[in-house]
Amino acid sequence: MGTSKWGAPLFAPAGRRLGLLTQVALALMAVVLLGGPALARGLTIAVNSPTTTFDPSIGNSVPHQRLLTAAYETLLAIDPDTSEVIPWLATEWSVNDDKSEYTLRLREGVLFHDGTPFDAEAVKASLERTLSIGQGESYLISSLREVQVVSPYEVRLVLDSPQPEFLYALTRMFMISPTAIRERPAEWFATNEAGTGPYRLVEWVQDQRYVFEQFPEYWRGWEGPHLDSVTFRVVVEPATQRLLLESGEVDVAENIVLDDLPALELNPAITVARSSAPRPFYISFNVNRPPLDDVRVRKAIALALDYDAAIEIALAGYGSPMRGPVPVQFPGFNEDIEPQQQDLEEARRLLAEAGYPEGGFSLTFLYLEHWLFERTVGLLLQDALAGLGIELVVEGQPWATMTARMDDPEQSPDLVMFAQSTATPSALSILEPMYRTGSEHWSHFWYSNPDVDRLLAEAATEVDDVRRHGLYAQIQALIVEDQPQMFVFSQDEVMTLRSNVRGYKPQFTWSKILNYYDIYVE
Amino acid sequence: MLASLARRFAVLPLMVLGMTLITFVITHLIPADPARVAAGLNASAEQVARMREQMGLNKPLMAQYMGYLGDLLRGDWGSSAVSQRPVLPDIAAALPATLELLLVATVGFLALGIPIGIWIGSSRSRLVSALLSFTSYLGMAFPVFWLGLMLQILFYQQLHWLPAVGRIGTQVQPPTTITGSYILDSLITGNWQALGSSIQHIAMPAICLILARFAVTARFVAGGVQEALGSDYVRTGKAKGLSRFSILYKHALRNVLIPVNTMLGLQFGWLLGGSILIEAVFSWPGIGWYAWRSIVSLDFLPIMGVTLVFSVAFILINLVTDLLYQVLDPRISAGGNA
Repeated sequence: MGTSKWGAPLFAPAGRRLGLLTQVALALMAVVLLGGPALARGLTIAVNSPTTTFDPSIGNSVPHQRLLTAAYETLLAIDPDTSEVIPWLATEWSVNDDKSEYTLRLREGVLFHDGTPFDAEAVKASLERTLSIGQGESYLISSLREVQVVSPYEVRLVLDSPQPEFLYALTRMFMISPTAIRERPAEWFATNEAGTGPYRLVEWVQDQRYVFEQFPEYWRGWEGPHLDSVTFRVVVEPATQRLLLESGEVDVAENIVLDDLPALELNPAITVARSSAPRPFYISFNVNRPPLDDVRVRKAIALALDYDAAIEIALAGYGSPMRGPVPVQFPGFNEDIEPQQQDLEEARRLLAEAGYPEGGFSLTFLYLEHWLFERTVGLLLQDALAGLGIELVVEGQPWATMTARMDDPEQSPDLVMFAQSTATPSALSILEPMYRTGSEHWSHFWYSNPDVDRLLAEAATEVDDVRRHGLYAQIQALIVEDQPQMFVFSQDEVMTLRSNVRGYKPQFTWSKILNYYDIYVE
Repeated sequence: MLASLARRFAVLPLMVLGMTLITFVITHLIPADPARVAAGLNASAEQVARMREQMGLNKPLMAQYMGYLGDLLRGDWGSSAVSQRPVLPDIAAALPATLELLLVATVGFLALGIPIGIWIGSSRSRLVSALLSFTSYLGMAFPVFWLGLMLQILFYQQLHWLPAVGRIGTQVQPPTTITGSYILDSLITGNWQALGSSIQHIAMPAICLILARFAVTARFVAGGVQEALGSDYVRTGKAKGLSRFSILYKHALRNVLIPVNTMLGLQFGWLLGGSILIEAVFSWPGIGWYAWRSIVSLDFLPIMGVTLVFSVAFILINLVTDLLYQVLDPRISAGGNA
């Protein structure tokens, strides 16, 4: 009855079954690995969130726009170097004197992916669709009253009221095939496209991958080196994205965490492309709640933070100082505003003057919980304020909870850190929601200054660019004086790519999105 | 037995109802504004108010709950505030991926855990059983999320044996959907490329789950084996001259399957929870990943949907294991008369 001490017979049947399966798998692995085609001139991009809808009238964030900008185009664009509006699907434009009517001349010879020619009817259909759906970035054209088809390649946009910066809105509105708008139900646009862009969708595997191929009749043509396909793979975990990038299985990883960047910088096979971008981070004060209602207390807190350390530690150096509320890249930025620096002496003096020489109060600081770098800023501030006798309680919350609290004056935190989105380089789009009395925007924190309100109202209708920028400068100076917020830093745009990927250039207002047409793989 | 079965099934809807009530109340107690999330950051206050009205959030809580239940029964599980996509089709689409992974993991930890448990339980060497126990507990000690990342580094980055993410290769067409399991479907349709790729891709996430749980299986089996080996019928078998193999596999195993059955019910609950993290690490497009995304954004209709599915699944599995006891051991009858 004896058997070996290791119970060999016990394992034999199991071993045989497993062996067969492994052999089959290994054989197939060989077939797959050896037989896979090499898409040498295509680009594979790892992204961390799936695109929930591909509808160009609804998409309003990076997961949507990274795909939309491959397949759709806008009437105008922003030159990343000069921040100026440049022609795109519209070649020329003229504006009436009070900036309430914009007449655009359209580019001829442009085709949608479904073969429909691009013309004034298409512009009308696209803008009207986006306006009627009323989601995404449609708020940018909310003043559009009528789209007039003047001739097949000329269109006039009539606005409700003068909008000096309306051209910016046209850099965000995607042109959609009127045939598709007419014939397809709304749900079709969630997983299909009908644009004029360089790449057209060939495969959509929900939540997993999206594959695009060159559109042969693209109006800019295909001379020179270009990608013949663009594939997006949803890889949720940043550590996994890094593995895929390092092994070369993906060419670009969009969501590598800051901590991994130094190691990747040392890797010659990988390029860490870094550029300063308009991505401002603010810490807003609840100006109604004592002692924050005293500007001296606000200033003291603002002077307490070590801004350089914040960039070095929280952003791993991938950031630049802010100079007031408006990003430095925007037209109308007030050049006279200097970056705020830490000054603990002055902070102490201001606190004493305000009646708090030993500090002696407690504040809550709220940040978006999965943005750990915001927590780092909170901790730096906590440390600095402790030296002034002020206790800072640092709390992280999910976005849905944050917005609910921020909407409620009772529950609103004392300090809250957030980023402002910059869909267009319009200083007004930053200043108006945050600072106008009675603004119901989520970023508004009960700040009220009648001078600012007056200047904002003037600027909104000031048609002369120079005068308007002058008004912006005044508003910025007032804000800096009133200090309703701390201007923490502007986060750089960082893209991690394989070093053989060429032609990448950050696109200014399409943040964290690649310029697919210009990129190629060596 | 039929009577007890009927009783169990009758209680099922009440348990599920209870789960939905608890989840509904909890998700509504958390201060969050789904209307704001759905309308988007830059929506005006009127747009948000309109969205709130559309989503029925202005009604009293009980009315919302009753409305939700009514919709549920009609097959409308609501839509995600974040993606605006309906919940039930998304969950139904995600379910097969998770079921396939859990099934493979279960087969795996049984195939690994049972022989090891028998080995531990029947081994006369204390060193062997101590070593085996130790290594199997190691797998359990590490957080499954970390295990996943480590396996990726080992098998993908260092050894280049297995792919890091996904359910099937990017250049490979998924097989025609019959059962929803890529492996079964490729076998049925004879799609060898898809079969190979699917097996490659399921390997790491499954190994992760297996490593984390086979120790529990081994422990239960070892305990059962030790008890069985000391029992009368085994001594009779030895006296009759039956081979060790025959004793262990043909006689003792049947009784060992009872604790295994108990353990399966518990393991399943853990696997459901573990699937959330594993699917995130391996970008496995299943219900765990759907659950994780919904929880992170406090998207309460998907959270309700997922909770519903998880609780029904867990209750059903435990019902099945209870019934299996009848088959495995007639001594345990439904009414509990030994």
